[in-house]
Amino acid sequence: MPTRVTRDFDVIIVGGGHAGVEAATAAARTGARAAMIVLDPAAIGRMSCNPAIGGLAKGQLVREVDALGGEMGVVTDQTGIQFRMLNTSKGPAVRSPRAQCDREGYNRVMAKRVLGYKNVTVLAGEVCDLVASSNGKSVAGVELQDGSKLYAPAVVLTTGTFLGGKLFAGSNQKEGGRHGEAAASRISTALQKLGIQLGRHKTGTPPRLRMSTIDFTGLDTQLGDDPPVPFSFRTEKLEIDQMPCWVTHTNAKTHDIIRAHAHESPMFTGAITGAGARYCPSVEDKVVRFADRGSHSVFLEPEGRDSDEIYPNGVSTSLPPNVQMEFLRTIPGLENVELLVPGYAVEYDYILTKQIRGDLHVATLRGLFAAGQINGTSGYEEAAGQGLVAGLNAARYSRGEDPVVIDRATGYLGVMIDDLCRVNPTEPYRMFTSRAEFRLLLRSDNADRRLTQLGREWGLVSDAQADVAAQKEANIRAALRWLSMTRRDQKTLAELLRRPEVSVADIASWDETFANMNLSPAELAEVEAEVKYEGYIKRQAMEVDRLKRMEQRRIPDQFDYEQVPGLSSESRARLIERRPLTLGEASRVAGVRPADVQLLLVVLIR
Amino acid sequence: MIGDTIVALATPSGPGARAVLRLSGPQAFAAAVRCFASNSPHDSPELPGELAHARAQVEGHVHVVGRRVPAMALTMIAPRSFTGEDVVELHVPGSPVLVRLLQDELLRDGEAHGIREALPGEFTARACENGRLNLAQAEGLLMLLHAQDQQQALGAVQWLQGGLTKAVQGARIELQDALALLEVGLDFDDGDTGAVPEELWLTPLQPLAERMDALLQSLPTAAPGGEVLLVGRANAGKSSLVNALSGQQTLLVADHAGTTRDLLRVEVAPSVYLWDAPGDLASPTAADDAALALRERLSGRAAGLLVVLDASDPHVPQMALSSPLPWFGIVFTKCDLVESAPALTEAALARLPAADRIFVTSSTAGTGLSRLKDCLRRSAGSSTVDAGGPLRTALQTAADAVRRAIDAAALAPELAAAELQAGLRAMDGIAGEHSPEQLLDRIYGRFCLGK
Repeated sequence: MPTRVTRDFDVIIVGGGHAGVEAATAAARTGARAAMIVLDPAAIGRMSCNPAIGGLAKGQLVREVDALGGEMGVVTDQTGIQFRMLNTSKGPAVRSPRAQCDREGYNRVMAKRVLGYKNVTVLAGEVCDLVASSNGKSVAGVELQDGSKLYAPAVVLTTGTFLGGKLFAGSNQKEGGRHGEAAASRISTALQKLGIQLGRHKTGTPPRLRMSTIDFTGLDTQLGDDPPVPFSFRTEKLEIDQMPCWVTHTNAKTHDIIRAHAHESPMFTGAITGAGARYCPSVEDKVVRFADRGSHSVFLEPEGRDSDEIYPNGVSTSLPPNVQMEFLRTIPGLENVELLVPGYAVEYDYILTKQIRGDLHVATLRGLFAAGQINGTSGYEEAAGQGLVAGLNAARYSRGEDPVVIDRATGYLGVMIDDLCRVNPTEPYRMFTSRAEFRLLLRSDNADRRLTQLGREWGLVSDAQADVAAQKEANIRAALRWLSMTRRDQKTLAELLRRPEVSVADIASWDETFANMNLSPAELAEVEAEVKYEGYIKRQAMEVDRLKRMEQRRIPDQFDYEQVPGLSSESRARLIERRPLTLGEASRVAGVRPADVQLLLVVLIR
Repeated sequence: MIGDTIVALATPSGPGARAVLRLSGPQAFAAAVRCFASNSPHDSPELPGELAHARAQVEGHVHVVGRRVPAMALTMIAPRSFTGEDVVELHVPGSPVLVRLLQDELLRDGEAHGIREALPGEFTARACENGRLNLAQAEGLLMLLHAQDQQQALGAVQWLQGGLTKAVQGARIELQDALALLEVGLDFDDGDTGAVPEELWLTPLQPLAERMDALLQSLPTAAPGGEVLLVGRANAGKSSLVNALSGQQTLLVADHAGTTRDLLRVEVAPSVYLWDAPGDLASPTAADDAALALRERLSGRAAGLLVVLDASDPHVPQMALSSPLPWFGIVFTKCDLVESAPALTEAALARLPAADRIFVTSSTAGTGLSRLKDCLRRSAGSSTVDAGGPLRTALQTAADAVRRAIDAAALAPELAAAELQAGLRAMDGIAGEHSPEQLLDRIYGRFCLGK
């Protein structure tokens, strides 16, 4: 329970990127007065890297954010220029939506929406320090560059790559959080002063190209889906003209140039010490490490409808700008290309996440929350998801309410945050569907079924959105009941649908009642998934049940570990330090043994 | 990291031809030479050097209360020892008094010298911790120690050498490879990787299932039947109970906790064996974890389980028993010390599975013993137990999962993946833990990913 001192706001959010906007808006939706402090209000919701939202596993995250009333999906639908559903040849659990957005439009619409929240106050300024409470155990507010102080019981840090950010291009290096924007270095010092341990990560971005200097003739094109499927459960239909993307390829000449200059990349000179992501290697890394590959694909993605900027996905680099130009011009279509902004690498601080709990609370400093790249993750979607959870919990904390935790069987949000609590990510953490042991349950199509009623309980979701989700749920249940009751040739319709060659369309053509249910495409997809996965989901049910029992067994905030008889002193010390939220979290604290968990359980039941 | 040196009697206590005191840890040599001197006159002064040969055997003597007693020192240097640490074994005549005195001598000023008495199962625990033994091997070691005939001994040796473990490990890696190839197609857009053809992961599955079958066939099955595991807190009276049931004084019984140092196996009725596990100390150290885990594993292949509770102080053991055994009972001991049968607290009951039988006994007065013995003979004496229990179950589950994955591939790749993941998880603990990170490592090793 936060102490009652000066309170300018309920929650202060430091940063206005993808984590920051979801944190501020989520807190505001639950009724908290939120302040968002940003270096530049024009940069709210800015896309630092490619102008795309979603992708495999990430699409699920966006849908979950949306199911909890978040902003990312809605803004994507409003500013998308190309929509594609990935993995359609595979099953519903591994399908994900992805969209290209208008970079400028996304930024503008997001900023407008954030400013439209009457509970969110956007302030321009640089946070230089955290203000601690008198006993030093909790946070009381922040201090700005002019020495003024803002007080709030909860502070959410969403500083992205700006925390101790350093930009690299060739031998050039300078402080900065993003191209042309200053870093936020003093927060790192403030955190370390408070005993919070930091690590260092690296990420990179490709050069931006002038579209009018590219010759697209002869390049393969990649078109959007027809009809496009929206991201948001609140978008009924997308009516837009979609733009194509183009695909070109590197070749032996490109690779020769890169190899000849590889020693000039700060990646190889040792100037960059932070760990980069293996799933997002720079082009010099690809060429050097996979020397046997003669060619790599480069996706030319338009940055917007009226933009003359192309994002060449696949050639992230920190080579000197003149070398970037030289190797790009060996690529078909780019023979005369001009660079608008050279590619660069950025290195930044992040909080070693074993210090974070399941509600994204920093375990050692009450009232301090963190979300996004500061937690060692990468990606807009990962950031947005954490932002929402951190904003929600910060608001709850400011009101003295219990934190909420999403478990691994309920959402990718839960999988991600739980993974972060368990280990410090050695490379920027990206979501993959293989990280979820209950992947079959966590479909992009059912994020609303999994989360929207919870969202209503938590005050995140409007009644209108929750009612739509409840109606969808009822329709699906009714259809499933009908399929399991109705027989055709001695088999139930559900049994027939389980066959790989049978689809819901076949069932509708055989059975009039089912056809007359007039299910929406989204509802049909869910009916099909539930039936086809049924046996597997049943087999996992026991595991899910066990998980939920452990995760729902809450350990009170002020729980006295001294009163647990027989707990080893080592476990006790670690538990007191970590203050796990649930029995499940306690069981994953290093050094805590099954016997200790058992003892805890007994005391918690009593 | 384990910094201290431990010492304990490594042979059964009581009179015998020879007793062995084992020391393990960085101070093992230094501690040993405080008591032991070589007979070879020229190397006495540099004894630590002399002892520090890998696997040296040195004839000599120990000094105990001013007397010279012939002794032999066997030395093993880290990491080439059972525990993976420096180890000295002092072989002396098997006199309990002599052993006690020698042990006292070794432990004198123990704190200053960084030497202490070993906790129950701590040697095995250190071996596991230092990677000298995996759990399957540790189990093999126990089987070897307690082998009743040549066939059992051979099976145990095979386990110990890790031959089977290696084969199981191989199968697990293949399973992981197949899953990695499958997952890469699910977790990365074809644009990133180029499509991964289904054959790449599907084709190896059938031969893999067959190899797992062959492995299952080769598992040793030579475990005797009628194994009952005794579990109870330290000083709950387990050893007294075993002695009373067997009519022998085989176990060292003392009135301080933690007397039983290692697993002991005693025949209490024809073909009925009680395994007396080390007492569950109130707060065992982290080093004891592996020993606890080992005991939990053993409980997986015992036919029955008896939880021994001190009637005058009925604390339920902390040890979490993951799987209820086919035969289960609660024995209250020391009932001569209390007037009526004790009531368990609700908390204690919550931790125990429902008891089939409750026995109220007193080892001193001899009450309740014959009923317990009858029950043991009937219920446990007839059952046979599979030595490779946990390993067999894991392999069987994994092989079944691989076959189901082959079938599921016809439906959807993500269903095949669910099966392979279940198969890998079944093998957790047998040959390493499965984690998504490992899977990603394998994927990155093979594919150039990312745009």
